Amino acid sequence: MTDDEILGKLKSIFAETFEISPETVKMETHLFEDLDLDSIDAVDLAIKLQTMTGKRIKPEDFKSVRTVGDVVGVAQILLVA
Amino acid sequence: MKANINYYWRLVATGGCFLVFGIGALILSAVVFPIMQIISSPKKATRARWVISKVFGIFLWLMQTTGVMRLEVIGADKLRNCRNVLVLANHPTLIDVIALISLMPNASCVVKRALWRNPFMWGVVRAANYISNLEPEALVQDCAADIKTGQPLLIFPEGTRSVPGRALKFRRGAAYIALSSDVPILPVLIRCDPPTLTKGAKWYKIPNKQAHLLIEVKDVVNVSQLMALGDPPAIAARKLTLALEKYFSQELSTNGKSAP
Repeated sequence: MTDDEILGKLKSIFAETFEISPETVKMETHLFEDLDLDSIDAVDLAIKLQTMTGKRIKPEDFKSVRTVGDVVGVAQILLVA
Repeated sequence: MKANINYYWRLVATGGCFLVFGIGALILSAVVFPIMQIISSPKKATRARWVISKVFGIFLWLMQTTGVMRLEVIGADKLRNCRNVLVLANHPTLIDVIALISLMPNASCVVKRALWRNPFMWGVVRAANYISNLEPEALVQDCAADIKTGQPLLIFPEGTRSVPGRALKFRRGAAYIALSSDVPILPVLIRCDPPTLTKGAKWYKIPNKQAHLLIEVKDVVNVSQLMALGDPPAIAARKLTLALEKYFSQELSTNGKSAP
């Protein structure tokens, strides 16, 4: 999957789970500052990402995630793993 | 001149109160609770909470007798007898948590993780089996489990003390807990005028006149009175958080004399 395809999937996850409109979700968007996610949301997001990729995420891999681009990066690593 | 004497007296008394609090907490942590740990039954957390509540009550009496502050409580009996509720309060000052716990002899409370390593408070938070805010997922589950025991749970949804002059900002943890535990909310409004012992303020920065802490216990509200149910959890938590922020902001903007 390309980064753009993953970003597209993330946009729909953000819309369904957090009611965040897709146009505000860009690679450089900051999850906690711009999208007002909190640590509970980050856990939710990690679970959705597991469902999307079919792979398990290690909590420490997701701890350092700050931007939408970071999430895309984690998804890429999961997909090739 | 008279105002001056009063100021310096309150400054000395405030310092004295801090000293007493530190020594008291240390005695509880290092002597009283370890002894209770040895001799007491499975209900030791309940007993520890009772002891903390009483000691905080004495401490409040000391603060009022020395003139550091004046405490007024509207609806105290609603707190004393409450069961199966989530008690939510705003958090303008350090003193409000002491006052609330003194009014709720069996309450559990979500407390910041740092206090588990605080030189004075470590034994107190451990003995009382208070809930730490460290892991968000575990926090929601721990709180829901705690509420099932029937004892009230006290949470400050701001997650920390208020920033004076800024609009109230709630974190969403309290909303998740309210939604997952399905108990009503008991809102408690706290006003401190003039502000004192706010976030980041040094103990010796006391106000020019005696602080008046007004605690107003409202009637319980159900989540369904605040918002429509049926959304997925993350969205419901957002809606409930906004509704609670609005409720508290509106209620706090009145002068507090409308109740009971």
